[in-house]
Amino acid sequence: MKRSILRSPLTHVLALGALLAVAILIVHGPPTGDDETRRVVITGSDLIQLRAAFARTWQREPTETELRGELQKLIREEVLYREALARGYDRDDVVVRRAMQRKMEFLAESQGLRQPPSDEEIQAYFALRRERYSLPVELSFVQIYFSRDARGQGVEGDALASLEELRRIDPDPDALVEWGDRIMLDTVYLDQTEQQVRSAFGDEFCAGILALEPGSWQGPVRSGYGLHLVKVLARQDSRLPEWTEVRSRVLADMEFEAAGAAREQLFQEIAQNYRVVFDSDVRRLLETVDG
Amino acid sequence: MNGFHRCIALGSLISGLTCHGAFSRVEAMPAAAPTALPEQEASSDAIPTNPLKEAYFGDLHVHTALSIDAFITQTRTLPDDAYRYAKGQPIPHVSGETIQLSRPLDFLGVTDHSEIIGVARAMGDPSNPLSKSEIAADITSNDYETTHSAFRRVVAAGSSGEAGTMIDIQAAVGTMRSAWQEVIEAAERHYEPGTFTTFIAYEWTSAPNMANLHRNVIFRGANVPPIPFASTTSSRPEDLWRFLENWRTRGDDVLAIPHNSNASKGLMFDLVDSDGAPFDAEYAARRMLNEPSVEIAQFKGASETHPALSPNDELAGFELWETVVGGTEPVEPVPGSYVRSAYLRGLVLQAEKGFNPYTFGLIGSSDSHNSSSAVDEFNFTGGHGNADMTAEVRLNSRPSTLTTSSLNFSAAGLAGVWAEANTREAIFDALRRKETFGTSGSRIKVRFFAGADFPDDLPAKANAVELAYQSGVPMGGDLRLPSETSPRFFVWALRDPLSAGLARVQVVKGWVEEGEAREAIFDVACAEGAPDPATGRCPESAAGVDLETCKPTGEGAAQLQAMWRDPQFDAARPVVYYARVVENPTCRWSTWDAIRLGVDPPTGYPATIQERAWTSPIWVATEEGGG
Repeated sequence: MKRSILRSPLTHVLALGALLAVAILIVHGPPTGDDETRRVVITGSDLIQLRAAFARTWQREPTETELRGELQKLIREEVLYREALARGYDRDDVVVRRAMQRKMEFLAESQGLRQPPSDEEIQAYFALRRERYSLPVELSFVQIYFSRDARGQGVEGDALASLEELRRIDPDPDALVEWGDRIMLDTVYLDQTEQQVRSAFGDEFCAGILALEPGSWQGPVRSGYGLHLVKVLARQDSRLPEWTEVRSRVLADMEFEAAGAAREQLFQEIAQNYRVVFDSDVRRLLETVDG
Repeated sequence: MNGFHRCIALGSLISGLTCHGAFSRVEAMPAAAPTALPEQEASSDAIPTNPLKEAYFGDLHVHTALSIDAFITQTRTLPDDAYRYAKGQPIPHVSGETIQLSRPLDFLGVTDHSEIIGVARAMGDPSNPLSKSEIAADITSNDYETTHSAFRRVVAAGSSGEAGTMIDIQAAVGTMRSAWQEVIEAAERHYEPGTFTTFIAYEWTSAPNMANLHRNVIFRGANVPPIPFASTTSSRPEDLWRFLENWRTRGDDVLAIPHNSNASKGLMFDLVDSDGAPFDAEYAARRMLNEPSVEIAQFKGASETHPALSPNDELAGFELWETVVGGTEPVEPVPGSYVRSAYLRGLVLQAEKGFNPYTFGLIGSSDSHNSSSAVDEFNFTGGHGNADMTAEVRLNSRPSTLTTSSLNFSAAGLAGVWAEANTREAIFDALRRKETFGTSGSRIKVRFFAGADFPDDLPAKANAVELAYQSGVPMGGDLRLPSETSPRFFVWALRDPLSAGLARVQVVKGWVEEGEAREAIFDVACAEGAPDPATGRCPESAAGVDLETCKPTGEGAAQLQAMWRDPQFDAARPVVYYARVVENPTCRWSTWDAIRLGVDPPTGYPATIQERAWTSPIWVATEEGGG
């Protein structure tokens, strides 16, 4: 009986089949399933997408020739993309990495301000950041200039002598042009911010007059030009405006911040799913930085 | 080190792209509807106005990430940031730091290159078809060599007519239109009449055969074309002018401001037009209508004159630029490349042919590619993204085959205008009537008037400026003298309180004698002493700078005034005068950098400079003759 099983044609067929399978295995390797990645399937729905993309750019439907051209571009793109993946470029290539990172950031930015904020939102932002919008100190003052170039060493003495007279006489602003020396500066300055005073006279003068009590002639105050006698007429302290006064500035700042915040938020959300582990070399570096 | 191939690049890219005719198509587009103005804030203050005019300082030449040559040096800031910076707010810088001006400017015009404006940035946007261009990955790389070699490829493709294989031209057009809208919207958003003025503007980047013929186009108001006229359509100035002339009939005023004549190989102020034909009266009129102003100083040096052309001007060797833009090919100092010789050429034409195409006014600006105007020597933050972003990079900069060293750059210049108010209309009109001056970066204020009968004691009068306007003409003007009279000049300069004191004021005179142009310089006011009538020069000054601390040694004058008569005035000759105000020496930016790094200032470069201002000239003619 044994001998007949071994000799039976069925056994021979099965054995031959097994041998063939082994041979194929040796020659071609195990079936990988990669064949699927090398098969690019284009369907009618791809054509619909190509048409739509074309129409968005061109504001009209493509002709058949144009559609065929888009199709060729799509096939080219898909094939090269698959090959790039097969070669591991998404993992190893610097340029591709960077593009992928940029893609994530663009995603984040588009999550930023989706639509213009409401008045309530603007008010809330303004309340949160109100120091930024505080209106600067404003000064109104009159000044008289004494030229070191013209008067030499005696300039301070001259200024002090004039100061006494000014306090005594207290002339009208219109009459002040007759006092002191001529310079390409105004006599009367109204509602000037610190920036404006700094720009016109320099830091030292600005700091000097901020310290003056309004209402009387003081000085001499030094500037980039020489010496000045100054009477501060009015001083408006730094104040917070109403949100309506600075609405468009607030809006611009909100948009600016939203884009940055969205990027940061997206990163933080994603980073939570990752665990960053350092080896001892890196730990040493981090410790020396902190320590 | 870079960014300058932009000129070759753009010049040729543009001509390449022209083959497609794609860009020329846009000329037929109808005018865009005026952009709606943003909601105005309630303001109870009227705009401050001074009929005797104030001096306002600004920059009319700044690039942002919308310019391809700024983008490839990693600048990512946009027009919005440029306006914030000009207003005194901090903005991001390529180095990772934030940068901030020591003082805000009064006005700014962002002038991104119109050629493929916004296209480079779009290449980094995955939702834009341009990001699928082969070149996109390299253009958006953060490696210097990669971006610049990609840029060169774009240029090469452009010049060989193959730009269409590299960039989807059709997608580019859409991107350009929306980038231009961004430019417009940012200018509208930041315009605060009376406080800060913005101008919608762009740069027309023509550079045939690497001769720099760039102009900045400045619009007076908000009514602007849907896409700017670029050198892609034509690189001939006459065609730009035709575009401007057409636009004026449809909208508000617009003008073009040439810059970097120093790199134009003599072509900016040539004696023939783009077709090689000699000028005629019509050409002269068109030129002055369209280009009433010239930018005399900026990052790429000053264009006043050159020691080879002005051997008797001891101050002629100031921030010289001696190569083309975008390459290292040296340029010769020829008359067609400098402002002073242009004025002289104009006078010769006036004498010979009765017209003068070179009666332009002067401004300065920056040409920054960082969305910023780095005007301060002591706070120089570079102008070309990662090419000069830190002191280390700048001081170790070497010339490459494509560009010159960063050390050859100047810190920015400034535009000064005398205007009744800080508004678009007032400042633009000042540019038009040439009541402007350029500086090398300081905020020197200078008045310059000429009249037939100014009294000798004019400077001492309380209403000196008012009288000067009444009986004379200001800078930029034409003085018509009755016969048998001679001009008297009134100059008044005020120092910049944050820079050095003034050293002297000079009047530069140009005239024609026996058919030839001549120039002479007269010192008219000195910080110490008075000019010697025999030499026309101030006494030697000992003012200097301590090179370890950059503190000036020597005071300088807070202000200088002069009444001056020309000792050699001849009514029969065409003549022109402009004032030059010079500060005491201060450290050049390269010296500041060296001090911060604890090294010696770089050899081969001046350690100090004398900042200065140049006024627009006054042309003088006598009734009986002289033009």
